Amino acid sequence: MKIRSPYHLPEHKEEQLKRAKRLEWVSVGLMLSTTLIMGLTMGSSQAMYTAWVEDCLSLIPPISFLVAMHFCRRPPNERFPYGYRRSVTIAFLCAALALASFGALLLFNSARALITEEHPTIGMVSLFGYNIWLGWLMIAALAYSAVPPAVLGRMKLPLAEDLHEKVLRTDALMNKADWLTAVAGIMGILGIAAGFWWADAAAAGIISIDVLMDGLKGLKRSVADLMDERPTTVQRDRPDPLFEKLREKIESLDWVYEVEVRLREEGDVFAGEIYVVPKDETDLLEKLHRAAKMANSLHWRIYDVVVIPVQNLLEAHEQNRG
Amino acid sequence: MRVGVVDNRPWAMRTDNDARGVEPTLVRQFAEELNARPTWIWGNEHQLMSALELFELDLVIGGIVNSSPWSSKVAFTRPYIVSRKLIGFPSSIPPPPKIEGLRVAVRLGDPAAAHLKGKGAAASRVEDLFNGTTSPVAALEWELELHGFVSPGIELHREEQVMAVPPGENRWLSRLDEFLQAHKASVKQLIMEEMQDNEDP
Repeated sequence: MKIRSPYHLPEHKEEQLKRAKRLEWVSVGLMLSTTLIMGLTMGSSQAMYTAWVEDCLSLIPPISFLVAMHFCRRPPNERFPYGYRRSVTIAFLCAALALASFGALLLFNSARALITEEHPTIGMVSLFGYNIWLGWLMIAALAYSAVPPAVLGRMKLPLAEDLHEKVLRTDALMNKADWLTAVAGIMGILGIAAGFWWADAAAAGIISIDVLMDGLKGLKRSVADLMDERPTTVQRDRPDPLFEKLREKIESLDWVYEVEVRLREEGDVFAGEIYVVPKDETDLLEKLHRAAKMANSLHWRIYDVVVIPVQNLLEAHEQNRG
Repeated sequence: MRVGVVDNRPWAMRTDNDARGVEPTLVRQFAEELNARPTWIWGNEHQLMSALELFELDLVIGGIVNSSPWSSKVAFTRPYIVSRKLIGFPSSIPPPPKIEGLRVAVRLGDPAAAHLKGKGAAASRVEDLFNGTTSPVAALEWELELHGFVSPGIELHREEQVMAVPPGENRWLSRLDEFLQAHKASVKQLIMEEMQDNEDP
């Protein structure tokens, strides 16, 4: 079995990845603190409960990122000749699945609370000898819970785009949107203070829809990745220009008559096949070898591209159909 | 103010269609602060709590405890006092160093018998607890105090006393809660007075 050679990130990317990992550790720590604070003030508010669950769930993407990073560094071996780079996408799939199912569950809970006309009771607590309405404490906890994710999200986003880490990027976007959760929760509690019993369940409903949408988006993305979708930019809005660049570079070689490229993304790196129609067959082995070297060193994201000589490109298509 | 009352000595007792006891006294004071007049509606806990849940009553009293399963359906105030069931010894007998194997008198039907067993003591179930007995008894701490029994503080069980209001009525709950917390100190006195009155024929 020909085992792939291990992948190495260039120096400056390695630095960025280290930074990203540090940020994810910080994320885990800060999110744990918010879940603790929210858990203490939760009471019987549906909105607080939903926001708290969302905070717990937002631990999953960074944890799965860190776990996957640990695995994907492993060099390919006999058992996994293609290496472990897919582990990141798999981790992302699991996280997205967890989010989607919890989002649905929470939405169901909120709907039930609305239908059964549950009136949430929020009483008083004594803090340092003062009687305080628990609702004010809840609002304070929600306000606090909005700050760390918003800040972290902002820091993670440019890193994710530089590293082409889609998982990290989705995590960063989720973090940035957490302020919406806090606002919804606060509106819910204020609604209850004003006497609108349904405000709490309505806010919980909004938050759970947010979680569900995050989960579904994540599912779409990770499934597409696992299905070897054509490489796209990290924002997923158009095909990655690196694809064209590679094709042009090979085409510009003087011994190449025609070329076709097929690529897939494995996490943040490209792998694939280049079908070349040579003008003649002299020194073919040498030319192919040099072409492969050039292709693989073109960009840090190109990992394992093989160059395949064919007689004509039509035959290349037929080869695959057969 | 529609107040549901459960007849439950010493918390609330029915006398000639009026309510007396620790909690009705507190509620009357509270009502005065609000310029309201309490109307007493008698019933058992289940009936009254069901009515409360559906907003047919404004308040339910009568020795409601925090551990009651109704806490998820209606709103409870914070506890305003804790009632403890203790082992008391007649002042003539010095309390032994430990209670393992001790025979303690318990009212027939009192769950304290099971708590005693859990602590290694034996229960003798009697109908009348303080009938000139010389054995240790298991009873509420104010009962023990009233009859001059001494308690070294061996606690068998504790319950937190609360009052109940309809679910989600947060401002109402807060108002009542504040009142109760402010009057916490006078509750013990009220209990002792009530128990005293009941002992005298």
